[in-house]
Amino acid sequence: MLIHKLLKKDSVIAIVLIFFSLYVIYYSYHLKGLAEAIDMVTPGLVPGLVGVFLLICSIVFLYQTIRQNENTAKIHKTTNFSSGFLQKIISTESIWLIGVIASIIVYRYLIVLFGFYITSFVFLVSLFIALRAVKLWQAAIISLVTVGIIGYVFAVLLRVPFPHGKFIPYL
Amino acid sequence: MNPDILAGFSLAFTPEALILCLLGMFFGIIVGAIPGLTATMAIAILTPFTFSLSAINGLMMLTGIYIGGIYGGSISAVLLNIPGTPSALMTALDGNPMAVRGEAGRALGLATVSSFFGGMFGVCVLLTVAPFLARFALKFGAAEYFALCCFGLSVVAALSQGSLVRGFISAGLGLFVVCIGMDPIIGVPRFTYGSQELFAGISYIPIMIGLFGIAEVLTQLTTKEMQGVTATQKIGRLWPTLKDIKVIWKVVLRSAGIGTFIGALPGAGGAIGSILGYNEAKRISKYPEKFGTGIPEGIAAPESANNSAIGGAFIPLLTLGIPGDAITAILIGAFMIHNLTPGPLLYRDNPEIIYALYFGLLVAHLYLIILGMSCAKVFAKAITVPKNLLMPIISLFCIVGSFAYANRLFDVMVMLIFGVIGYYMRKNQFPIAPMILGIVLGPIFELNLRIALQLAEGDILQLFTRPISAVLWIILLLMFIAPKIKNKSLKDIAVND
Repeated sequence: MLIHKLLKKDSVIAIVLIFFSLYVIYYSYHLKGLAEAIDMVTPGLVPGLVGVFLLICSIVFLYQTIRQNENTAKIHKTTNFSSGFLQKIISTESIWLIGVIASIIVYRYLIVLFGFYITSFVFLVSLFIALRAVKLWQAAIISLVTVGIIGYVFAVLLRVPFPHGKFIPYL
Repeated sequence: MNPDILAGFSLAFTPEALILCLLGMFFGIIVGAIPGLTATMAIAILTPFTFSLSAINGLMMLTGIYIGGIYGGSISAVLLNIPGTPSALMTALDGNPMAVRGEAGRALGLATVSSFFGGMFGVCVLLTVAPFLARFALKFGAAEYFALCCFGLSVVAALSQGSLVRGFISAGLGLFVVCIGMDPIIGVPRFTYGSQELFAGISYIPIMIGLFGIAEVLTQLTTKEMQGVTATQKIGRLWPTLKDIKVIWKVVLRSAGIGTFIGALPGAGGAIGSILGYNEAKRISKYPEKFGTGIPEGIAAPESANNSAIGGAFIPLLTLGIPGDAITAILIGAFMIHNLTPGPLLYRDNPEIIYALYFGLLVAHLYLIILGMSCAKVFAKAITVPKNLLMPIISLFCIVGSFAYANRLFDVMVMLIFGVIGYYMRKNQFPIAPMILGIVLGPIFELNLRIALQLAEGDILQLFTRPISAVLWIILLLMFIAPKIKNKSLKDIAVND
């Protein structure tokens, strides 16, 4: 029964935070600094205090979620961490989330190879098409104009040096 | 005349500054009017833009976005019954019913005029109160600043929507983020795990862009309604009649007072001000049952309060260096970009910047009424842009803005990580504002705590027994104990009855 309650989403969050806080406290305790003459005022003081604060809050949060789960049995089906786990992974929401995150990660690595302008143009066109915002030719025009404006504002007006691509060094 | 005031005037009234403020206001109104976009997000994304501008030009542009964004939320609240910003939540209650009745123009006009007068009230209070508070704040030492940080963090956590514990956890995580990097006093690396990039700590700007920009994009993209919405009401006459003004002027003044006070509380902000302003107007009204049916007072109260909170929010920001709300927390980043530290020392060392900002706020409010009245129909069209067209463009702005801050691709990954964190925090009802305040106040918190302890040679009691810090701690305790005593008294009364 307790395991069941602990599998609720908020409880899982609380448990993760508890372990995180314990790690922060452990790490802070072992931080060394030159000002050890006044033992309290070491580099580990504030992280340690933050760890303790987070630990207390996490324990209170866990207690509250367990108490809440006792009173609201109907929540069980929708927020149980273990049930429907696979469905949650492959839900539309997750696909969009993973897609956007992946596109930004790919952008970060491609910009070094192809430079700002090409990578940004491809990034925008891909997202417009994936979101079915506009047709391909419209996506291309809007992306071209947007990248042009951003490039002009940042690279020319604000003089931000965008990465040059290894394969196309002049863009 | 005071030479600093003249210097501030000359900084604020250059053609460049005035144009940037106008552009910022225009952009801010559009961003605020589009549901799903907020002034906070716009300022977070555009702060890196201001790097190559002069300090006051950049701040005036951001101020224009701030004021425009807060006002802009009323446009979609009135026309679509969807508040464009949290501050416009209460405006929708009476604004949309009035618009549905065929009086959309009247509703927008009331919102604009109330926002203008409320905002001007807040700025006037800022002009009069802030210099005295700044002089008083010069007496603050390390212990007092530490107490002020704790006060700021606890207030925002207590006032954040959702449970108190979630607010505190969010603030605690914000404080932890600040601990990553080199220790500020001795230089010992903390939580860096040998990474060169983490030695310098995690930059504030990419965090901010991630939490407010990318998190919003992820939230919007994972909701079902991706298309834009269409406003169907026609906008007729905008300017309120004399009869409307007679009805609303007391409400505007009262709500402006409430909004300014709430805005001055660290971490409170316009949303809470507008709710309290509306509730108060309803409570003392002769016909409270008419609130929610489309009456002028129901629009005037929240709009006056949410714009007056702007002036209030600048009070702790400029005088103490403590942000009044999430947006002023981001504005601290804008100050930092220009090597300025808001607080009492800014009044002493760069008073011309302060006065220029005052003038900027006044100019921005003049722009508000001019743009609001003349461009209402333009803004009404702007809110119909489909989200699936807007979100990719905003994503690109976020990426470029994060990179532009320090020319590091590492910051783009920081932005993404915090974007995901922000998305899941919203999904699980953890407020983001306390985390931002934790990140902003964290360095002040740590530095002043350690300095105070070193000066006191490890004696913790001295942190709490100095006069000013003692008063702050007592106020903090009362804030937590008073509601519990009040609830207990009400329960006792109910039991006795």
